[in-house]
Amino acid sequence: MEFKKLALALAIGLSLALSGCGDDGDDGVAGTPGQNGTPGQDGAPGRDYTEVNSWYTSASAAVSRASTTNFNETAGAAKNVILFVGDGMGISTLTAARILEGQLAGEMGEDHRLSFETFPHVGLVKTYSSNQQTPDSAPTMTAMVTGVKTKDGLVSVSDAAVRSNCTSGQGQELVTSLMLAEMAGMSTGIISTARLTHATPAATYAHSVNRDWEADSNMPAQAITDGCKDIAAQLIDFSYGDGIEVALGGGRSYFTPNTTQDPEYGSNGRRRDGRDLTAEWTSKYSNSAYVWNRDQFLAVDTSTTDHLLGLFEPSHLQYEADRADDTAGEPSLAEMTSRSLDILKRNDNGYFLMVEAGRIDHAHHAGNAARALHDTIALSDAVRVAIEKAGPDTLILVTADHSHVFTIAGYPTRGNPILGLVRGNNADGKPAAGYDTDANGMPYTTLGYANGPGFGFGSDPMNQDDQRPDLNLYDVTSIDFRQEATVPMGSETHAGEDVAVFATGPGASLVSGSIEQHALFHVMARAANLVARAEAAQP
Amino acid sequence: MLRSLLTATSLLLALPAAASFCPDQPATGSWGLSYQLDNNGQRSGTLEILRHGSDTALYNPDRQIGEWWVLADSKRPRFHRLFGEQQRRIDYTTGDLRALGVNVNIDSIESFAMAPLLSHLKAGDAVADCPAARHYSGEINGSHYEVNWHSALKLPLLLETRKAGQVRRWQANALINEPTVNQRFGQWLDFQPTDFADIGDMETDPFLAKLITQGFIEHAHPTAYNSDGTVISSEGDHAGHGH
Repeated sequence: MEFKKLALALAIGLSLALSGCGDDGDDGVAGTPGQNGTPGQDGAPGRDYTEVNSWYTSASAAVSRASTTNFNETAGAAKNVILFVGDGMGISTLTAARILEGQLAGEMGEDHRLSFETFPHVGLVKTYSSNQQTPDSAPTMTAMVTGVKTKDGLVSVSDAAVRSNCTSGQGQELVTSLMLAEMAGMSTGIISTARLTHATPAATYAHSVNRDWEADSNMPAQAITDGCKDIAAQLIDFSYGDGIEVALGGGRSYFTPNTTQDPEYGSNGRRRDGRDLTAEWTSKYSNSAYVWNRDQFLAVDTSTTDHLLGLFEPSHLQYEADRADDTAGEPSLAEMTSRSLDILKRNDNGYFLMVEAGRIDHAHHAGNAARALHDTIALSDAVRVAIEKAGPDTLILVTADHSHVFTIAGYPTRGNPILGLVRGNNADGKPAAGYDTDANGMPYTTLGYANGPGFGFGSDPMNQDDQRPDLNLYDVTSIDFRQEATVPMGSETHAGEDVAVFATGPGASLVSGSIEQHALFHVMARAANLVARAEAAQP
Repeated sequence: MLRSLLTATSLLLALPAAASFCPDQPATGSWGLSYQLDNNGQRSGTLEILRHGSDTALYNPDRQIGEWWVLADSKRPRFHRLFGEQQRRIDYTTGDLRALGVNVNIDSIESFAMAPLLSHLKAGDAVADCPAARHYSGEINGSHYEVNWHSALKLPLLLETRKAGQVRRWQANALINEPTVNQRFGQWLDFQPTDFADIGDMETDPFLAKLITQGFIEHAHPTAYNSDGTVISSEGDHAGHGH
């Protein structure tokens, strides 16, 4: 029976293939080293599969492509490395963002692909830290860029250190992939939509026994006396190689004195030591620039600027959904990635670039799925830029540091709005006339959270009969809608299940199966031969 | 936590006459009014509303808890939650407020949610001994309102609601001067700030962990809260309702 079904599908598939089923979109033509590649079709909207046989032929073609995908896996084959991190971008976030992006393009959505979902190699990453089943961003990013797990709250120091104990971390500092790249003579870049001093970007260039020591005012006096330095100062005082070439993100107030007013909001900086780290950047580096809004950023000559610092908000950047409303103007993650690559690619020794979509995490913590998904799509856009600008000698990894308690529930029909109420199918397999309901006859959304601020809708008087609001009365697809949560908490939490890693380029096949998060450092280090190149470059 | 903002309920004192306090329009942009709160004749606490330029703050001096709205850009409001005992401040950007589904109504924030309701009440005469204030009364959503509204200050001098046998009364009893207001805002600037967006990643901070587990964003439309912590919205909820 099964064989007959297979043969029938194959026969129909072959006949339809002759009638011209379109390609699903795959890699573009990569550029030669140092030059832009030809724009590819990665992430191009997928087809709407309405014919049963096209499922068969498309999957068969995908397998054929996979069987012919070969990367140079020799150690050191990757001249460049780009690490994309979606903070809090669990697998359910990927699925929902994929569907949303497809639906925004007028498709049903489920068969859509984010740009990096076209990558040929995928693994499942175990995210636990050395002392917690469910981690925060500090140990997870430390694992990715140093090759070892550490404890929650620690930034690129080993788990021999004790959180908030300055002296316990001294001598426990870990060398990061970005530091190795600088030692090897490569160019380096850090991009984040969070503060540049936030745990994920900080782990690439700083060592701290407390992720919250972002400015000196965040540190206890004893820690300063004991010789610990705040994270912002470590970015400017960075001493490896010729210094970081590109640093773009938020956190302006952590770099400016508390006697200086912010140019956009008028609020004071956070530094008590009087240092203006933005001025120090431009005085430290020749051919350097500091910018704090989009117009300034776009005016930078990337062909002559060697060191670029951009701080576009006093704290985190705007959510992507709010970015257009920013008073001073902020570049998108894709724009920051594109122009960073213009600077980094000028180095014949190659580059290491880390790009973080830092606000996916924040929107989830607020229980606001729509903003988390739009920030995920913005990350996909940034990856697409990297695919097109980076050459075939570039290893690109896309992953997350941890997940969130974010769920996709019910049995919605194909094409049901991902932000909407669940509408299932009727007995004929067609979309039902009404919404699916709970045991009390109330509709529910596809997306929700296991905990967080979305419990009960506060004082809403509709929350009386069955302890749930009547969602018929809400615009659940609004960007501002806060999804329901099962357990009431002021802030939604991280989740402990695996996250995904997608890989393309030299060394990509090293990413497969179930892997430890700290193995990602070793993938990058081997692919780009970072340790040997760094050692060879030492005098 | 929002519920506890104004829960400093205690003893009832004899209520002063409605017009015994009749402030003039302050000549400065920094001023405030202090209110005595009573619940069924029992004194339930004190609340201050403070104006500092375009900023407005609601502050409970007994509990040292407050809410500070930065409204210079009406399309991009910002918000701070204040915890005096811990010397801590939680900062909300416009994006944070949007992500939480908070719809900001400046008129409501600046008037204890009364300004949008006045049109639903019957305007009466000027208040005796206080010609700058006018009396309003009427029913909204089953609550009976008695309001003495100071048109220059755009604030109630008296706000009394009755619903289901519950009588709640807010009586302005003192004008807060400029030095005091400036001192308050200056003090809050020195509190240890934490971005709301970061709180979810700071569960090891005992103070923040308490906020995370107990919850501190309970309403979609926080403006002001009565002595039971019930949200005072612009929809006639001053008498409160059960949760």
